[in-house]
Amino acid sequence: MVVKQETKSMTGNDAVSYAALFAKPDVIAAYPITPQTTIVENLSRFVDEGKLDAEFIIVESEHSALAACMGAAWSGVRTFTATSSQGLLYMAENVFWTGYGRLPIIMPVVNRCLAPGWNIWPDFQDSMAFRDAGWIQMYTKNNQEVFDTTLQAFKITESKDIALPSMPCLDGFVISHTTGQVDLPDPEDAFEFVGPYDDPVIELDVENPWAYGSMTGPDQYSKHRRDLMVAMERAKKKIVDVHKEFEERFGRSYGNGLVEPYGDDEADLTLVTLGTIGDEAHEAIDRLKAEGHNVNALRVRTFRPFPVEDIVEFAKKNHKLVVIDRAASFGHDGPLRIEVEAVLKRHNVDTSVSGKIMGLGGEDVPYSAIIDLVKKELKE
Amino acid sequence: MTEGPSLPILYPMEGVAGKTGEWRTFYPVLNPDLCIKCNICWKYCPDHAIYRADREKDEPISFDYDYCKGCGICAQECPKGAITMVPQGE
Repeated sequence: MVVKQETKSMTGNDAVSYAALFAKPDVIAAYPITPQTTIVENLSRFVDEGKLDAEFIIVESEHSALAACMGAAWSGVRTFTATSSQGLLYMAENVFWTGYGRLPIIMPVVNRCLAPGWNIWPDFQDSMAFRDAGWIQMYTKNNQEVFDTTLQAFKITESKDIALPSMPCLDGFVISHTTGQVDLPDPEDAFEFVGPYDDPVIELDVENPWAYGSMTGPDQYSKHRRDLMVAMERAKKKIVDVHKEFEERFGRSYGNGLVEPYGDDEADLTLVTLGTIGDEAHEAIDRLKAEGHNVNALRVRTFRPFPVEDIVEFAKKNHKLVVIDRAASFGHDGPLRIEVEAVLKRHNVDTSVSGKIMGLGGEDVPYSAIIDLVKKELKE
Repeated sequence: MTEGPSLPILYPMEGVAGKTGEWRTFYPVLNPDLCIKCNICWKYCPDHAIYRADREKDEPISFDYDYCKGCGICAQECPKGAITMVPQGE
C-alpha cells in the first residue's frame, strides 16, 4: 500500500536535505561549495534546531570532510556528506579510499563543471572523473527523483552484501536551485523504508582492534578488487529490488531503477541520455511524435554499475541510438557513448550508435536543440 | 548476518608485515656486563624487537633479530652505552 505523502514545493538541494534528514545519519561532515552549499546549510540548521540528532563535524576542506566521514563509517554508523566539482576533486584521494575500502558513505554530488575557466554551471565532468572509484553513481532527472534516489541510496549502499558508497548525482542549478514539486512522505515512513544501520559493514571494536588499508601484497589486493567487481554486479539486482520496494511503498518508479525507457518499445531513433537532459528529451519526443516521427528514449539512471543487459535488450529492439553526453573524455568521445558502443559490440548488437556532447559548462540544452539533433540524425 | 565484503583489514599479530629484520643495515649488539637491566631500551623500541631484562633472574635484555630494523634508538637511549650498532656482515 502506498503511504500518505504531502506535495511540497522545494529545490533539488532541499529534496536531498530532506532525504538525509529522514534517513537520520549519525555523522555528517561537509564543506560548502557552489552549487551544493544549501545542502550543508540545511543540514547544519536541522542539527542546530534539534530536528536531526547527528554529529555535524565542521571541517576545513573537502579532503577532511570525506576523511571525517571515513572515520565515522569505520566506527559503524550511518554517514552522509555532499559535494560538487572542485570540492569533489579536492577529496579525490579519499573518494578512492572510500570506494576501494567499501565504506558505506552516501555523498550526493551536485554536478558542476571543472575549472578553468571558472564556471559554476552544470555538466558531468566532475562525477565522471570518479567513474572508476568504486562508487555507485545514479543520475537523476528532477527534484522528486533526487529525494527518492538519495533515500534508496542508503538502503543499497549499507547492505552488507553490497557495501559500496553511493553518489546520487543531480545537475547543478537545473535541479539543485530550481524549485519543483516533491511529494514528501512522513519522516517515520521514510525511515521505516531505509531502516536502521544495525548490521554495519565494519565496526570499531576496541576488544579486537584492527588496522585498515595497511601493506597488502598482490594476491590479497587483487582479491579485494575482484570482490568489488562482483559486488558491483550484485548491486544491479539490489538497485532493482530496492527500487521496486520503494515503488510499492511510495508509488513512484523510474523504469526498473537502472534505466528508464520513454515512449514506444521500438522506434527509428532512440535518444540515450543521463540526468536532466533525459527529462528534456521527453518533451522533444512528444513534439517529434506529434510531427509524425517515430522516436523514443532510454535514460541511463544508474551509470555505475553500468546496466549492460538493459541497454543491450533495448538496443536490440531499436535501430539507431543517439547518445547525448554532458561530459567529454578528451581524446576520445562522450563517456556514455563510449560505453554504449562498447556493450553493443561485445554483445554483437549491430544497432548503429552516434552521439553528441552537449551542455558543457551549463550550456542550455532545450528540447528545441534535441529536436534539431534528432532531425539531423534522422536524415543521415 | 550477511557475509560482508573483502576488506583491507589486518589484526595485530607478530610479523604481520614479514621478517622486517631483513631491512637492517646496522644491528645492535649488547655488552651484557654494562647492562643494568633498566629496560629503557625495551620501552623505546618502536618495533617491540627487544626482550625485557629480568632482574630477579639477573638476565639482561636481548634482541629479536627477526624484527629489529636496526634503527639504533636503543643504542641512543641506553644510559650506560651498553648497546653498539654494528654494520651488517661485520
